[in-house]
This record gives sequence, structure tokens and C-alpha cells, in this order.
Amino acid sequence: MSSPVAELHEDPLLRFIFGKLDINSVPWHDPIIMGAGFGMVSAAVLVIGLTTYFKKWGYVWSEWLTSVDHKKIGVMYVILALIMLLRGFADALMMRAQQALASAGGAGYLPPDHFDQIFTAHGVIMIFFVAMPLVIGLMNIIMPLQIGARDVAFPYLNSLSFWFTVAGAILVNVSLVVGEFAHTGWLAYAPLSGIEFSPGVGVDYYLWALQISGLGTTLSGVNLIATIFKMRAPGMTLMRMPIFTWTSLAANILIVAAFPILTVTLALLTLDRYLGMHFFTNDGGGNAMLYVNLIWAWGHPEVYILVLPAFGIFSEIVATFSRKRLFGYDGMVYATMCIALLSFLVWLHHFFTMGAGADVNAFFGITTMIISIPTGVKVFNWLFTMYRGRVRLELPMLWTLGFIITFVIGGATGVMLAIPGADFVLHNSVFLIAHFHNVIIGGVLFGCIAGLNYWFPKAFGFKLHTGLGKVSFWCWLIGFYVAFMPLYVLGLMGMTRRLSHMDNPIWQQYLIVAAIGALIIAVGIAAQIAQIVWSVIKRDELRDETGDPWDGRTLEWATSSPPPFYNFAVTPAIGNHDSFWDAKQTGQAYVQPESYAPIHMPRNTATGLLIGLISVPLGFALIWHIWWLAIASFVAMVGIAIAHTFNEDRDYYVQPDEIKAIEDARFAKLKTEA
Amino acid sequence: MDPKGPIGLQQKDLIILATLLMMIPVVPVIVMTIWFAYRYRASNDKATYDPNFEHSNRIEAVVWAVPTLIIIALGTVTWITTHQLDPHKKIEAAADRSHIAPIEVEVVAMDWKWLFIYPQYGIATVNEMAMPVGTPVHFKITSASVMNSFFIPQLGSQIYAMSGMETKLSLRADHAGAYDGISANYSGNGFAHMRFKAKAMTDAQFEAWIASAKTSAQSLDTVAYKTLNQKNVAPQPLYFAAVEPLMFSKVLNGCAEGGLCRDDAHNMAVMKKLAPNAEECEDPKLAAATGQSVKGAKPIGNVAFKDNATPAS
Repeated sequence: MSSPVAELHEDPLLRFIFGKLDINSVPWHDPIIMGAGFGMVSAAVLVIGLTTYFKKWGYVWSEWLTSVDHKKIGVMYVILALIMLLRGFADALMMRAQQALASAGGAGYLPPDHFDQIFTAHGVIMIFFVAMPLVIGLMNIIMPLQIGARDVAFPYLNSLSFWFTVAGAILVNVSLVVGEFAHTGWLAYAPLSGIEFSPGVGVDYYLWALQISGLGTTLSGVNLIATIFKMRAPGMTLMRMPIFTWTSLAANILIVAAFPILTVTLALLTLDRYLGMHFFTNDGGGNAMLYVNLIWAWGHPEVYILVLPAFGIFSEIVATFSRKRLFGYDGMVYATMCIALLSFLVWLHHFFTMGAGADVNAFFGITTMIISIPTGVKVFNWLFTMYRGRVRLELPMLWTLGFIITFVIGGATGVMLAIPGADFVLHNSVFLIAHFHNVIIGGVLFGCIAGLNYWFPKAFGFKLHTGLGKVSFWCWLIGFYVAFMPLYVLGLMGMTRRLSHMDNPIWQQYLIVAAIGALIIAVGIAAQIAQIVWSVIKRDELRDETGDPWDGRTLEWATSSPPPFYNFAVTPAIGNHDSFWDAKQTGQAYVQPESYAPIHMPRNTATGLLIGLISVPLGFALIWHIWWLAIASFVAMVGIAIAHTFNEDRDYYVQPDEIKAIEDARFAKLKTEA
Repeated sequence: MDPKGPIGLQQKDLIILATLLMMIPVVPVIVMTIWFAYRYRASNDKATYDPNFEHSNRIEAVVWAVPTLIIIALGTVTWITTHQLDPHKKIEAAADRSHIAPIEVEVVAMDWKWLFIYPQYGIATVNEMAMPVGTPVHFKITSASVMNSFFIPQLGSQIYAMSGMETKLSLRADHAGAYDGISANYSGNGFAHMRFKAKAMTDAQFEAWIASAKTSAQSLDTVAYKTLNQKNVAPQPLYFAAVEPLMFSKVLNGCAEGGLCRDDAHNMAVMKKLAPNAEECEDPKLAAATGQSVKGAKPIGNVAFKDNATPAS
């Protein structure tokens, strides 16, 4: 497959209408791409068809697409992440297959040009469109419940954030079929990503997909910080917040501090590519070192944006499933905030090999290692939470135990990479690949799956099936070790990353093992999908009427499952970070109040959906230089946003009668349960 | 890992030391995870259950102190080794060869091949380099294209090759052999084929290698450089019997294919600023070399200006 750099249309009218786009922009002759594209389109048609057939459009529109309910938006984030996980994982399988086939001199089945797009897409999708939406989705569903809020601070903004993220994901998927994706690596280092070395539209897809979704992420960060600071239930001082809320706060502060750096860096690269500027070019005074510094000044905090909420999830799970207070709550809080601060002081460790002096390299090496101190404290606190507890090995706890063991190994290899002298031989090797998959799969992904299993009954009112969940867990855990331990060895042997082709029969053996590991993980993902589908089918057997299936400790378990749209009929009062547990101990839980006050709630709006979806043609037009469409889309987005400001009917009060009816039904069910 | 030189050996020892130090917390954590989960399993009524045990000054002191102590130890190791293994630092010859002068090699990363210039010998090669065993090799590295990373895994340290910038690296091979050299930083389509052989040999073999390169029919001048600097891979090594003077400096200054060098342009601009009304003149040598008429100000007196690119020695 050759890089489809479009010849400009000769006809000025055609050029005006279509920009750089023409019929050859679609790689019709590539069976892999056309197959994948056909699959995606058929899936979309199937979903649309089924929705139409079952006449569910009204329900989907009013209950989901236009919803500003944080729980629904959170669920949609998670669904987006799971869909994109399939795409990102398909890329992973293709890479492992290519390297296994093409490591002993064979050609494999992918030309370099395609292989390079695959590893770029894999990284971009897994970080921006799997890990981020999973984490933000879980924060959305749970955090407002944990602090006793009715919704986030800015519900319409929340909807807009989500649809911007969806728009970015759509653009990445469109790039598969129309044009190409970047073949630069997931961070698109300049000058390789500049117009001189990447003249195609691939990098433009990368830029606009990340700009649009990144805008959503930044807005979401602002929103969730405001929610945590302004909307906590009375009595919930900062040091009484559940740890997941604390880590969400830390992650969102990092989002607000770091994502603007990404936005600016990508904007500067965009100026280089579109207007011939020279921020990062080889000549004209540009400097590519600047790009690498800037992108990592965002990139390192990003790691903690992902992993801190995962730490929070584990903290909640360990306490709940050990039936014990979290050990060292204060220490956890300080450790979290230490990590958040330190995450801005370590970015240079991603490029010790750039030639900085020994003092600079040593400084950044040591700051990196210092992060392992608060991280180590967290690990020990989880262990001492189990100590003298009553540990139930339910699914969330299994994932947590798998995480602790896997994560400390990843942490250890991370500290090794933080020593500049060692990094000079390990940098950019597959040892590094093994390390960051070790912490991102072992930390972030295990955390999110643990969180899904833990909070699924809260979001839907029934548990996920345990047996299939265990199959998924063991496949993921074993598959991870089989897939990535060989990469540690290969890295020490000197195998570098991103190789489409090698000539080393010894390496091939390890790469075949790694490919088998990826297949085991594939079984794990299949089991996960089966777990969700089977649980939906068997939902009546798995149902939980109490709202508290795990004997939980924090406030989200105090309300019903799924929670009513207003979350809490009466705003709870808080005396402790384990407030619901304490309430259960003192018999104050499950007491129906005598009367209810009206509840102030936001109305649904389609504005976020419309603006988000119109940003897809905006991005597409900018990528293909279709200026009329770009202008029209932008004007439409601004117009809709302005029109929305004239909409005065955006909130209402739920009347006590309605609340009473809902709550009476709940307490009646609780009685029959008891 | 199978290092064949002092840098690689030190790095291997460093990795082993770091691994052992990290075992101090990692092994107990793994053991405790399994042990606590088993010991305090819900079905084990014999184990102590203390649901409100959430704080212990003693334990918290230990969990902060142990990682801190390990990091103090490792941080000290880091500070020392980072200075020892600083790529800029020029390493010594092997003990019995202290009289031997280091070999200077100028490295240019191209799309997608490696150019090696030996200024002491006036030769250049592509995708193959040689060095005498036990002799330090001082590399000066830049890129004619995107960012790459110059790496001979068995000799140790890698360093980035960046356009317009010069990085330095000092390596030594203590055993004869042909070692794989790679780019460790992804650089586009031909990246996987951007490989070279680094051959460590006896002094006599090295002299013979230089001599055989000198028999090549090709020489590296502006025209040959332009031909070489195309986007392609070089399946076979190439040899150049002669190299145009200051070739590496020209690559650094963006004029290896002709045109005005960045350092010259800079110097001229400085001169114009220092003497705005000075009479302009043409440099006949530069005009002949570049085919362009380049005007500059005549320097007045002793004008000191920043020398932003050191020409190759």
C-alpha cells in the first residue's frame, strides 16, 4: 500500500468543493483495510437498524443521546472505551503477528507503511480513546454519588465534553478508510510529523482528532474540579472525601494543568504544517527538541491522570472487600497529591538520550525515583488494609490482587529506566514497551476493569457474572505475563521498538511467545464481552435490590441501584470518609425520611450532541482542506452554542410527590428483601 | 546482554545492581499480597479481625522510611553513575594502549542509512564502521533528516541524532567482532533497515580496512552527498576514498548539498549589525563554492562574534 498523498484536483471548482479529497483517497485495493472498514460500517448499520426495528429512537434520544445525567454520560464514556478497545486491540494483534512472522528475515504480511500506521493508531487509541474515556467515565458515574451531589457542576458542559471525545474517536476511525492515519508513533515527534516528512493527511487526522477530543477532556477536567470543590454534601470536608474522589480531584487538576500544553503543542505543529511556520522544522530556526520537551511536559502528567484514579478505585475495593477501614487514609491523600505534583517534574526522563548534561539527567532521574516513594506507601497501605481484615475474593478484589503483584514489577522496571546510565541502553527498546504496558495494563486497565466489576451493579442494578469474569481475569493476567515478559528479555538483548522487520531467529522464538500471550488476552477480552452479554441475559438472577451488593462503605452505596436520576432524595450529611458504613453500624442507614423537599435538576439538551457531532465535519474539512465546509461547520457550532444561551428552560424542580412515589417503591422493595 | 566494551559492562552491572535493589521491596510486597489475602480470607475465622485498624504510627513510619531509604541509596548510585556514564565524557584507552590516540568518527543519520566520516583518515563509509580494539572512539553525531538514535547495543550507550545539532558519544570495544548498530528511534518507512555493522578489529586489520576504503572509486563531495541523501536504504556498505573538507560541519549547518551555511549566514548577519554602514563585498570563494553571489559586510577591526558551529578538527 502506498501512502495516499492526493494529487490536487486540476479543476478549481472540484478543488474548492473537495479540497485534497478524491476517489483515490480510499485504499480500495487493500483487503485488510476494506475488510475492517466494511466491518465498522456494518456494525453501525446493524445498531441503527435494530434501534429502528425496535422503535427505540425516542428512548435512545431522550434517555441517552441528549441526557445530561452524569451517570448516563459516564456509561456512554465506558461504552465508547470498550468499542475502541476492540479496535486498539485488533491493532495489537496485527503488530504481534507481524513481528512474530517477520523476525527471522521473512517479510510478514504488512508493508512498513501500514505497520507504522498500526502502531501509531494502537498507541493513540489505547491512551486517548480507551484509557481516558474509561477513567473519565468511571469518575463521571461514581464521583458525584460519592460526594452526595445531584449531578456535576455543569451538566450541559459534561455532555459537550463527551461528544467532543466521540468526535475525536470518529475521526480516528474514518482515517482507517478515508486517507491514512499518521505513521509517526503515538506522540508524532517532529520533524517526522512535519509537512516535509509526512506530507499526507495522516498527521492531520492525528492533530484534529486529538485537538477536538482534548478540548472535551479539558472541559471535563474543569467541570469535575468544580463539582468536587463546590458540590459536596454538608459535613464532607476535604479530608472526609472517599479516596476515589481525592484521586479524581488530583487527576482533574492534572488535566487542567497539562492538557493546555498538549493543545498548544499540537497547535504549533498545525501552524508548521498548514501555514509553513517553523516551530519544529529542521530549518528556518525550528527546533524539534522543543516539540519533544513540550509533548512530554503533557505526556508524563497524562500517565498520572490515568493511574491516579485507578489507585483510587483499588483503595475503595480493598477497604470494601477486606471489610475494614482503609489503612492510612491521610497518608493516601498526601501520597496522591505528592505524586500529582511530582508528575510535572520528571518529563525529561523520556529522553535522557537527547544529550543533556549529567547534572540535568541525574536530577530528572532522581525526581522520577522519588515518585516511587509515595507510590510505595500506597501499595503498603493496601496491604495493611487487608491485614486483619476479612478478605472476600470477589471479582473486583481478584483484579486488585493481580494489580498489586503486576504493578510492583512494572514499578521496579520503571525505576531501572529512571537511572540515566541504564536508560542509555534500555531507552526505546522493547524493555520500555514491556515496562509501560506493565504499568498501564497492570495499573490503569486492571483498575478500570476492577472498577467496572465493582460499580456495574450500582449503575445497572445487577451484578456481572462471576464465572465468566474469572475466566476473563485469569486470561488477562496470564496473557499479560506471556505477552510482555519476553519483551523484557528482548529489550535486554537490544531489540528496539517499532520494527516492522527483523532478521534474528533467536528473537523470533520470544516474539512467537509474545504473540501467544496476545491471543490469551484476546480470550480474556472475549470472556469480558461474554460476561456483559450473559449478565444482561441473566439480569434477574443477578439483580440486587438493596443498592449495596458488596456491603460497601462510601456514599454511592447508600442510594438505590441504579440510582434515581436525582441520586439522593435527601442530601446526606457526612461525618466520615466511610459514612455509609458508619450509618449501617449505627442503624441510620435505610431510614426513610418523613417528607421530601423539591429537587432542582437540569433538563436534557441536544446542544452538546449537536456541537460535538458537527465538530466531525469541521475536523474532516480541516484535514482535507475543504475550507467552505470547515467555515460552515464552525459557524454552525458557534451558532448552536449561542442559540443555547437563549434557552431559559434548562432546569426544573422534581416535586415531593414524585420523589415520594419513587422512594416508597424503593423502601417497599427493601422490606421484601429483608 | 552481552557487552563487549567498558561502557556496556558498567551499564550491565548498573542494571543488575538496580534489579537487586528493587527486589528489596518487590519480593516482600508480592509475598505479603498472597500471604495476607490467604491468611485473612473471609472463611478463615481463626485470623484476627480488627475492622477499625486504620492507623499505626509504627507501620506508617516503616512504609515511608523503607522506600525512602532505598531511593536515597539508588539516588546516590544514580548521581554517581550518571556522571560516570555521561555520553559527553571522553573515555580512556584500554590499560595497555594508553599511547594510542582516540579515533574520531563523525556520524550522520540519513533516511535510512548511516554515514560515517573519519576526518583523521579522510575517508567516509555508509552502514559500516570499524575501530581498533581497545581504542576509544569519539563520535560526533547529527542527522540529515528526522531524529534518530545512534546505538550499538553491545558497546553501550545510545544518543540521539538530531538535525542541526551535534551530540557526542564515546565508546570502546574491548573484543574483536562485528556488532549490530541500529537506529533506536523510529524515523519512518525504512527505519527497520537502518542498520550498520560496527567492526572491532586489530590495529593491522583497521589499517587495512582504511586502506581498502581508500581504493574506492567514489569520493564524498556535495554532489555525491546529494545522491546519497535520498530516501532509500543501503543494502550494501559504501566506501568513499576522499571526503570534502568540513563535510560534517556543512551537514550541521544545512549546506552539505550546497547553498548558504547557517553559520555563515549568522556571521554575516552579525557583521552587518555591528557595522551597518560598512561597504559590502563579495566573497569570491563562497560564490565559487555555492554558485551564488553572497554579499557581506567587510569586517572592521577585530570583530568577535559567536562561533556557533565548531568545524571538525
